[in-house]
Amino acid sequence: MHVYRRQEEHGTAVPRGQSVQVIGARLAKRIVRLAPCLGLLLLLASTTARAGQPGEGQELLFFGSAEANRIDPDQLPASNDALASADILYSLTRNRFRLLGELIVSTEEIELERFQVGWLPHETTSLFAGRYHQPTNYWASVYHHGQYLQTSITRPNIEGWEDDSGVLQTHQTGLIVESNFGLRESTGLEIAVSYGSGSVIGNGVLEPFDIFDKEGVAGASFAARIGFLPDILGNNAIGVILGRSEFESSESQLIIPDLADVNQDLMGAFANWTVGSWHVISAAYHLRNELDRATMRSSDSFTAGYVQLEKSISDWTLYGRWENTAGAEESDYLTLFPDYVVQRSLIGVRLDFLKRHAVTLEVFDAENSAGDFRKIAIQWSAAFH
Amino acid sequence: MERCIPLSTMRINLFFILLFAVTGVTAEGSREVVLVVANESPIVAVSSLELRKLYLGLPVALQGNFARPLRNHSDEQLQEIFFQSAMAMSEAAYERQLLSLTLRFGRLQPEVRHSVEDLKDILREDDKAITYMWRSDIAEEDDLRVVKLLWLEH
Repeated sequence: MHVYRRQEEHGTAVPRGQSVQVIGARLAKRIVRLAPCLGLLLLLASTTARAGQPGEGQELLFFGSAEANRIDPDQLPASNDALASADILYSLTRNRFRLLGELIVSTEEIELERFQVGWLPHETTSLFAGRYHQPTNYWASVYHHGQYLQTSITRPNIEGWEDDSGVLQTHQTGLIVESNFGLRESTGLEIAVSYGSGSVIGNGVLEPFDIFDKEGVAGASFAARIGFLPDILGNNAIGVILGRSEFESSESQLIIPDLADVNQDLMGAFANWTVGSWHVISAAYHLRNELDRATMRSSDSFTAGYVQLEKSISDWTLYGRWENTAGAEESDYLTLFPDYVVQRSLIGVRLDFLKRHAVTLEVFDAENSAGDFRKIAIQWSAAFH
Repeated sequence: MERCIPLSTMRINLFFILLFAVTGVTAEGSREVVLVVANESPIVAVSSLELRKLYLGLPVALQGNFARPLRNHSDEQLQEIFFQSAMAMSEAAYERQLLSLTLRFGRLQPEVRHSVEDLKDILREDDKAITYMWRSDIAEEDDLRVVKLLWLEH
């Protein structure tokens, strides 16, 4: 009997012995690929003292987390496991130029999630080139990999990372412009527009374009998000999302062997609102997919969304989330991702303690193509500055 | 004949002098939190919106000069008053928002100082520096001036 490595809601588990070798090889490959970027970051960090000019300087943030979880063993292969990760963010601002890097080091992977070099023409406008989180993924745009900042342990599955059963592109390499415009009084608009690489469809997962992979071929992707801010300096926002992506199918993709590429159109809306001790974050996405196969073309669509409601009582936060996908059964596109969770209901409680530490307990009931399953998880998370 | 002040009266006076000095009570009996710069600073006015932007890590030009905001961590009550009156949020919410803004945009966070004397020294050395204090903390300082009243005890 195999012992399976972290699977969470995945149906495609990898035997542990094999996974250790595979992951070890992947990590070594990644470290070699990341070396130039990491070298540049370390050089800048070591040679740049806090700048003397106002508006110039550098920041280093660490987000740490550790999680233990248990999934109902009757539903899926054993997948109880522990996961630890550190998210390291470094930014350097000089003469209206900014460099930003975000590196994840975990028991699962080491990956340079973001690496952006940009220009700040105005106090609330930035133009970046590099690898960043696509603005159509609202959750990722707000929380990135900062586990401590998001109340729940899990993220909604429609907002999942490409390598964690996500079906939307979250990482893009290209250009992104982000800006805030003041409207009447203190209200404002938040706009983010990006254009860059699409992803590659692998076997059961999306694979973001890898600039260091010379064999990587990806289409183009456009993404835009516009939000209304009742307070231009606050967190409350409501808005819409638009995107179009081209995904090439890789040779390793075996679920639809004659698939050449997918064109995906995305429309969505989001809300992120705090009133007193209540907070709600919600998004809905409608996707239309055109699959270009050797023998035929087909199209499908589905709609996915979630609502997460939170209530703070002193240092405690109670929360619940409901997420669902309509039209999943008729979608050829979703058959490419058997681990995608089509529905999930969860509740949780979080306790904040000391300075920037939290412990969270979460229980959920979910369904993917393999059937229903349940999970209980406990997590410590923290931020260090 | 010189009039002698009773020892008990002297003690009471000394107590109130110390109390005023510690708590920042003005001559009129009200405590004030003020925004302070050096006398030579080109900064002469700061709007409420500019102040919020500054302390959320945005580069803000005041009278054509990019200001350098400093956080005064010398007194817990002072911080509480500053965040409620100037930033319209609790300190915990402010800390969370700063983390989020740095994570999202790489935005710089205002420098933190734990000593009033350190803050005064920085203000004297850097005419773009700006911070908040009890008014009583600068009562004796001729080279520092107030640019804005942030809070007045009622």
